[in-house]
Amino acid sequence: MSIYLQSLIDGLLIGGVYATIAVGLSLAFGVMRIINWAQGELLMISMFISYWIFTKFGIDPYLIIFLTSAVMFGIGYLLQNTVLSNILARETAREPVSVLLFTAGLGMFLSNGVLALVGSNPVSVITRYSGKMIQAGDIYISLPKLISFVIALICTLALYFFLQKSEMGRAIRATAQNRRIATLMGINQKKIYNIAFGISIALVGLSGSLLLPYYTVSYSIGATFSFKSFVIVVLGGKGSVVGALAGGLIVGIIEKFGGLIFSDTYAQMGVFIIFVLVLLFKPNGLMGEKEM
Amino acid sequence: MLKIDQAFVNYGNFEALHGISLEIKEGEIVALLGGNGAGKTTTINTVSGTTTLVSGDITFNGKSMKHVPAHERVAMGIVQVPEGRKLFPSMTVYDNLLVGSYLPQTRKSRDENLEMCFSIFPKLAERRQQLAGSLSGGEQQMCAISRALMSCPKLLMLDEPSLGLAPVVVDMIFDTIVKINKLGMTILLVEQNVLATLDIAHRGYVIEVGSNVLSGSNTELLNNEDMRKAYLGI
Repeated sequence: MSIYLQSLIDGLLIGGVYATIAVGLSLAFGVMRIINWAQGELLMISMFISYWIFTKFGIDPYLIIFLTSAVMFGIGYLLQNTVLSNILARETAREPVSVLLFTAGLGMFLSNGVLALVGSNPVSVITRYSGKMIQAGDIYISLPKLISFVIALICTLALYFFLQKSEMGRAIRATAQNRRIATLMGINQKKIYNIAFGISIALVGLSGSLLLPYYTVSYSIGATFSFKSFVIVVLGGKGSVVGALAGGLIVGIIEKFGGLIFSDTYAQMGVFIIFVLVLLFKPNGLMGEKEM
Repeated sequence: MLKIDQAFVNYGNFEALHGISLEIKEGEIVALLGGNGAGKTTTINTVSGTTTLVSGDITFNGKSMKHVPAHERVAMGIVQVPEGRKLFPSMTVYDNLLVGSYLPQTRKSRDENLEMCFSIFPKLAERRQQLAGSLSGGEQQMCAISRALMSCPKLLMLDEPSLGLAPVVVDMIFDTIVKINKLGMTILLVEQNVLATLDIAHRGYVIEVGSNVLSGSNTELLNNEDMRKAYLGI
């Protein structure tokens, strides 16, 4: 029995970080109606930045989150302010395809850029948390995974309350629901897009630092994460923070249980099967809002 | 206060407005009348800045609005209650009103404005924690008007506020428009409900397929022969 409980906990712990990545994707989709296919590659970049800072300066990986979130917020903000906004200005469709193509291209550019600059060798770090376990009966909880999970959860909830309670959060939600009407309330759409995309990429930056203590990074991991985040967003309901959180935890659990019962490869297939089933039977996701 | 001078607007190859002109003085209720597709909504969207002017000009208190982006016009006091209410449906009534006072200068008077809205529409105070999408049509219109009032408008433009509402509710909404006008707000009322509108407006403009056809005081319009035939069926 305890082996199942162990898988459940392992699944939840990794799922929390998946959720944070997916929340970023969901926010960008909810507000701007764009799918950022470079989400995973930006995560990979954040992991490399974290790796580089850790090996050069020996800063505790959990302190690096402040730096990576801030840097990645800046990158997201500038990317939207300069490039995406210009592509969007030429798009008339509600769900712009050209931005999707742009982000897919950006993803390839980033992974190939990293391949050219640092090579294809996977790298990982040994921190003072590595290998530390908390034992509770028959259950072992990895300390770095637990810390990462808790930080991921706190940040996701903080974002939720920011969106619900702050002036800017309300303006972001209003823009997500109807951008033309939000403009009629005096809301500067471009500014909201800049901030929303900045936050979206900041969450990726945060997640990169949270994964590094227990996850091996190489130039090619981006695509997997992009697709996994997309599955989570569809599962949870596009644009919903709570949905993405639930979706992330569910995908984490499916992976670990699938890995336990079958094998890791089959577990990945299981994630895709769930994805197809959701698209077929619950296209709005678990907590998605109906299209208006 | 507001002056539209020979406004031309295109949607792609389709010319929606060809030379609309109108003027609103401070404190007035001005009606903009016309059938479906006459260009009424396009006219007020052009004033709001969500539709771009091809040629002509719009001035507000003497200042040209041509290069002022839509969100900045709200800060200047040009506020619209859009056609079909267009609330943020998955936000509460209260949150909808707070979005109305998103701009920093309107946040200062947020509490007074909330109080004013709830005194005009006591029903909204009861419904404040309800999702806006779950309100009845009349309540949604009350919420949409209140949301606009939260933005401290100088010129309030209402786009077909009577659309799809029961006659009693329409009467109540029109009474409210008069009340709001007496509080000092200038009003541009876009309507198809000609009789009720001319009952409360000081002056009116009639437009057809993107051009002015008639203008005058409410009594002039009500007594105009063409007007009676085309819009009142008498």
